[in-house]
Amino acid sequence: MKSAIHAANLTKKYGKRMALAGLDVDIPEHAVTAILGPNGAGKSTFMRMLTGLVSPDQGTLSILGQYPSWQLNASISYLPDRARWFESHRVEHAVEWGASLLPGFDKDRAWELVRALGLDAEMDVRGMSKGQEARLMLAICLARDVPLLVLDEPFSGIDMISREKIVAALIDSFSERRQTVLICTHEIAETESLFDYAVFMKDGRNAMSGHVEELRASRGSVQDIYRQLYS
Amino acid sequence: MNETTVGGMKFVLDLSQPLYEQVLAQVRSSIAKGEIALGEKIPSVREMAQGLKINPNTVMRAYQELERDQLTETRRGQGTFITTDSEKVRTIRYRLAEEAVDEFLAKLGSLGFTASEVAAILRSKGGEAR
Amino acid sequence: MMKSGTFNALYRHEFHMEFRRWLSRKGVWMYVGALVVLALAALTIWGGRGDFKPEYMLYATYAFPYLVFGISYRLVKREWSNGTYGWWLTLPFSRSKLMLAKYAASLAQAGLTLLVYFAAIVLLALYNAALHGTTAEGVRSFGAVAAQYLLVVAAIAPFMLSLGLLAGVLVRSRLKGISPLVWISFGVLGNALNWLNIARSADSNGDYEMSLFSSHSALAFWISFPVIWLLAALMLAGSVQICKKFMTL
Repeated sequence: MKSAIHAANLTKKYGKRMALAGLDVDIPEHAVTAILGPNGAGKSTFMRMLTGLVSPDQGTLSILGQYPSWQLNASISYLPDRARWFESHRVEHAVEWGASLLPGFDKDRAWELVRALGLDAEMDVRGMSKGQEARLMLAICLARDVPLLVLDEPFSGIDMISREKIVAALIDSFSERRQTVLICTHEIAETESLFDYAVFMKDGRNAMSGHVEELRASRGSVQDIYRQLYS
Repeated sequence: MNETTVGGMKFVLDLSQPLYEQVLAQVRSSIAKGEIALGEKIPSVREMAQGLKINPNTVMRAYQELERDQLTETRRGQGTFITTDSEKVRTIRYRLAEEAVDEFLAKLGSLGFTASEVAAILRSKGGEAR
Repeated sequence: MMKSGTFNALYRHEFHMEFRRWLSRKGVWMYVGALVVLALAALTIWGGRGDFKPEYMLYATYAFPYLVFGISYRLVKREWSNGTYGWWLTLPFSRSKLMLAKYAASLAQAGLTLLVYFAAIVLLALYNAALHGTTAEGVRSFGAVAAQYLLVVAAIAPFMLSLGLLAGVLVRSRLKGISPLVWISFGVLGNALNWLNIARSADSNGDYEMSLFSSHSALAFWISFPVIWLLAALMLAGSVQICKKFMTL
């Protein structure tokens, strides 16, 4: 299994709180990996390190064979945690923004995604529901043909229809491209069938990780394992 | 664990067991049952993944296995089709039957039944076979 | 993708965001229209009085340095209040480029605002002159004074813009503690026009009261130009460093 991301002993402290306490993990290439765990397990901190938003206090992190940097972000499509879109945009402005600033952005694909996700060019971001905004942001992320896709809580707090549309868009994307995908989510029931690999984080460490189909054979569904680990 | 129908085939997936095995088994079963006819086109990897809401890689593994079994064939630019060879389907029907019998025998064996006891049960049930 | 091409795109995004935001507000045009009507009405009624000088319209510029600070400060603050900082800071551009784009965009916005304001009052002054009659000398002197005010605000603007960006990133960084210094600078230096006025009136008597310069303060002002701009550049560099290493995210 070739690693797209290799982390060894990643540590990050915020004041007295250890967000990451020596995280060791290898994320396989060209697979869909889920980063799971309760709030405070360190999932978002890890994801932020991938795009250079946060630097580790200790440890090594290599992504696609390189250190995190703004230059490497040209190869990473990142959906930030608790992100919103630019208020003053309409959907067409969002696509323009992506096309003019994001490497690998495919405008045609973006419009296809926008349509598939039930949005149209004239819609104002200001008037959008949370679900619609989430779909727009996902469209922008998926429209990029890059080696790594990192989605931090893409399903958080949005309605069921939006979630279903997003899952369908993800399946389409996985069918068409060989991409390494990292998803962090709490909606395990709806999404576990999408995962190739799973990393269960606890207290800033890797509590368990493995190929999901193997885990199913030995330990049960991802949801079952989650319950075993965290309750 | 709801039942879904994709391309005329019925699926019930249990997330606590490997999905690829289930998809494979259930497609084979559909073929054996004739739910899907010889030579008929089956959904593409993407369509199947969409219908079942699972990772396309999982579907791909199952499809590759089916192709190895020669139960399906992929024609470039056209898609994936069930074999037109009825012999292959017959083979798979009998293989599934054998697997079912093996399972049955193993279960009764674990309950402590001897071969002659099993035979007797089968004889008495024989008339009730549907 | 050409480097210059995408910096351009970044700049355009920053510039248009505020403008689009502003222009899309429902009441904007009515508000502007009402202001214009009020101004014209006021001039018509009181413009002819002996003690009214159109130069009085320039008093509004005393607030401009503060306004200019606000333009760049807001451009940074918005990334957090709108929840878009994640997109901004993970763009494949260096922190220098990101900050420079915000600087350029706020400079352009400030410049545009100044231009519109000064054009407006020149037109209002001409309207007043046409309505109430004034000498050519009167119009010329108005023009000269207006130019002075414009010059001073334009000279201070780069500094206030830098200060605004610095304040914007500082309040989101581990170095939050120094922000009082920034706010003090904001208060003191934003008052620039007033300081100049005081310097001028202390230095001379009987000079034209609206002029910002006496002979001595004018010289001091010209000398301070490069100093102001150097400080502006240093602060910009400082903001970039803060953005790179000290952000609390």
